[in-house]
Amino acid sequence: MAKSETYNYKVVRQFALMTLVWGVVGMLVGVIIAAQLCWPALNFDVPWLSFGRLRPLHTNAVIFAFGGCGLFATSYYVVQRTCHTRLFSDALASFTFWGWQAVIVLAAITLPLGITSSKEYAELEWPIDILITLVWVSYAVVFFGTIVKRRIKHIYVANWFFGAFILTIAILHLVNSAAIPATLTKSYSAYAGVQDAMVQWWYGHNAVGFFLTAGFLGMMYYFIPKQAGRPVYSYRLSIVHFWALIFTYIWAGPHHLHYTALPNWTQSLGMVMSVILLAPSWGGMINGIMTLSGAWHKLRTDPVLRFLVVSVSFYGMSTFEGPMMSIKTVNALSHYTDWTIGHVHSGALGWVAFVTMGCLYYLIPRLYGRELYSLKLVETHFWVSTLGIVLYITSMWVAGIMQGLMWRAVNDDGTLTYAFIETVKAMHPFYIIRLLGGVMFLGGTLIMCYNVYRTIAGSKPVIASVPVPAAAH
Amino acid sequence: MNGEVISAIFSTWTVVVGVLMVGIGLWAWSGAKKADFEAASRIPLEADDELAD
Repeated sequence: MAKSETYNYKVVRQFALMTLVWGVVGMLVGVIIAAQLCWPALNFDVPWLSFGRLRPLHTNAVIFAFGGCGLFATSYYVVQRTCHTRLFSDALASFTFWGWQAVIVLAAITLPLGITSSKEYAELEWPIDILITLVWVSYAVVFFGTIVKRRIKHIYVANWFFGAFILTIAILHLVNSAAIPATLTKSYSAYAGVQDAMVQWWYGHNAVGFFLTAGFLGMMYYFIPKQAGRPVYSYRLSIVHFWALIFTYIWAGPHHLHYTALPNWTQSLGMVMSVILLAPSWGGMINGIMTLSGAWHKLRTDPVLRFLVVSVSFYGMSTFEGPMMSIKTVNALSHYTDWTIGHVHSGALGWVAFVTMGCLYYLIPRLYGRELYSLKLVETHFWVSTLGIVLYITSMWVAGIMQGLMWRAVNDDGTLTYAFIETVKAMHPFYIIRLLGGVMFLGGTLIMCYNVYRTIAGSKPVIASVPVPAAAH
Repeated sequence: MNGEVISAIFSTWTVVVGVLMVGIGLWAWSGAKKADFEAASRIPLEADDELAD
């Protein structure tokens, strides 16, 4: 077979390594703010070390720096491999790497300085928003340009998920970040009042739906079959999964605004669509897990596959919990409590981080042409981090439900049973358990970093050829 | 355009998209594309990306 063109692995390698770097940074900041919730004096009365400033740094770092770099790396790898062609433009791909790193560094500087639009998950001010737009448009051109020049007729389902993620995030970012600049570092939202809240949570929930779900489902649909050595359980289910998820997710945002000034019918619509969302989510989860049908024994010996499959299990758990929490009567108890934090982290650590780590364990050896340094360390990483997640989410579940029950408890005469400070004190032991869980998860990630470092140290980057001509489909 | 017209357009569009969604489901399970889907599901496995060493 003649081989002339090669895949662009350079940008995949760059994003893959930065995924780990930003993962450690983002998780470390998470551990610091978890410690501050246990011992508030740890902010040392330094404004830029305060919880209010570090918390958005944590969320931005883990979502957009760690998760974002992981998505860039895997989407660039998958689209080339499944289209049998090199990326559309090396220069634009390189721009997306350096541009995205610049966005992250600017976020790391401005957020601790208190420069923020104060929109959750969209805190960055307007000049950085413009840079994000430029990078994202370039990303879309590279990704869809590669799809257009593909040598395989069929567009594999993972690319549909990556494509939806890229397109939807572009729309969400443009609409939600619309603002009127006042100075270089301050702008005001183009929307006001409840409309602003609705747009914000239309963005916020779909950032979860398309950034943290659709993109990572793209990873699932490529890397689980690859690592398991089996095709996806049901390709037709993957198609229905895709369209059902795309159709349903976009409506669910109002469940973040239950019992607010948002019209009641909008809240109910958000709740109903969130409950419906359980069906496509579980369709995808079943499709991912059942891909192992007939190959379950591989889980005993392959810790990388275990990362991937357990991540899908956490996806199933958190996409069951989410719709339940969106039901207004449940939400009356759960909203504003630490239950929400537990829910978010079962998705963020169990699903997003685990699937990313599983993909990186698959990718790194192939990008550097070496076997992983130690499968035992992968095994250790898996168990340390899994235990960390369990400690984290169970402590937050217990704390959150207790918190909600304490807030709503009333005496016979109608007065509140507990003062707010009593609920804060009651949280303290659970915050310490959560901190321990976070430290363990970070510890697992550091083990992974060491393993990856030992794997790639002294290696030569792989130059992989594109097979020509591609098999006909 | 007044609010009622816009509302009618959006409502119609929602129904159209909903019907389309059901149609995609029926099409995917119709069996017409069974062989194509089976071939498509093997795309990741066909690609040669084993370790270079």
